[in-house]
Amino acid sequence: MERKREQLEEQGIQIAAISNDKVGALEHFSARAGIGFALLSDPDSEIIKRFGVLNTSVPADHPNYGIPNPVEFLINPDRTVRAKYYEESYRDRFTGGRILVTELGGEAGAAQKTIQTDHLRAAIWSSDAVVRGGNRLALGVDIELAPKMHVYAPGVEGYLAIDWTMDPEPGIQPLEVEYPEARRLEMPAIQEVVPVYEGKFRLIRDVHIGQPNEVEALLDPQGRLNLRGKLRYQACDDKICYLPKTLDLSWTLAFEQHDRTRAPEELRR
Amino acid sequence: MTRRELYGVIAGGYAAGTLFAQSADGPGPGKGEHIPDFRAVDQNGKPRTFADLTGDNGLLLLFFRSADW
Repeated sequence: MERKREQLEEQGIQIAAISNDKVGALEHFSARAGIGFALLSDPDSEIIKRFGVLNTSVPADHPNYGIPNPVEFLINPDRTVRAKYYEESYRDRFTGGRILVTELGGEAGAAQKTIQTDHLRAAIWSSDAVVRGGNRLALGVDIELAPKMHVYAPGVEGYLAIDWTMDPEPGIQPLEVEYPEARRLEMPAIQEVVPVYEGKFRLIRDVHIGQPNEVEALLDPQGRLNLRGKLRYQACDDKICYLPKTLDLSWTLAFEQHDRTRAPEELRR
Repeated sequence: MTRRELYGVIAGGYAAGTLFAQSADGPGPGKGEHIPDFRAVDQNGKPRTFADLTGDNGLLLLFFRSADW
């Protein structure tokens, strides 16, 4: 989150984080990790309970009792919730980049590569350049079609709709692609109306990164995580339809290990 | 407890500002609902409230397990 703080601040969004740690432990962590936003101490979990986000799966007599569920709220200045991000497991977390890109319409996080074909230009990006185990980030492809060109959108019949698949990897869980709304193109000559994309459009999909032990085998010698996929489409202009084409997509993400350093004993909960 | 009584309890909880039912998108207040106001001390020992934390377009508030584990 710290990595995206400046970009969020440029959008007029401040960040704060709450845990039931004591102030000393937060001070220690803040200095160690170089945190530039407020870390709030809620040692009796009073705020956590008032928000209704107490992790009730922890028994009251357990040392971890009082921890919150991992929820992130994007709150308007009038105190209404604009968006909420929640992951079932405390080990999973939406990245700051993902929130920026998909919620605030921010610029694509980290550019990966650009592919140019006769029909289109595809700029491949990820919401974050650096990920950790348990992160949920967004991958994206920004497509710009050549003039007069269109590709078919999902739901089309009789033509090949644009289709983005990910190569299966253990520990990596791609979620569904978010396709933008298609334009309905009328083709009077053949009395058909078909859903198409023209001009510029963005495809986006979230990906869950597994825990470090689950993805370790996927890391390259530089410790990076390489994700691969394919984008298949059929492009047509106002005269002809071209042969279907498949593009190789790839994302290279730096993989960061979790910070396991602990605060000195006397500062702990 | 009748259904009406149950609703009364839930509504009472909301009115007291101490209870948020589990909404479809996870625990805590849902989209469009108000968050409870709060006051907490930050890592520098300074008391903070929502009003002084928020930016012009809002606040991203993260509940996290611990800074120390």
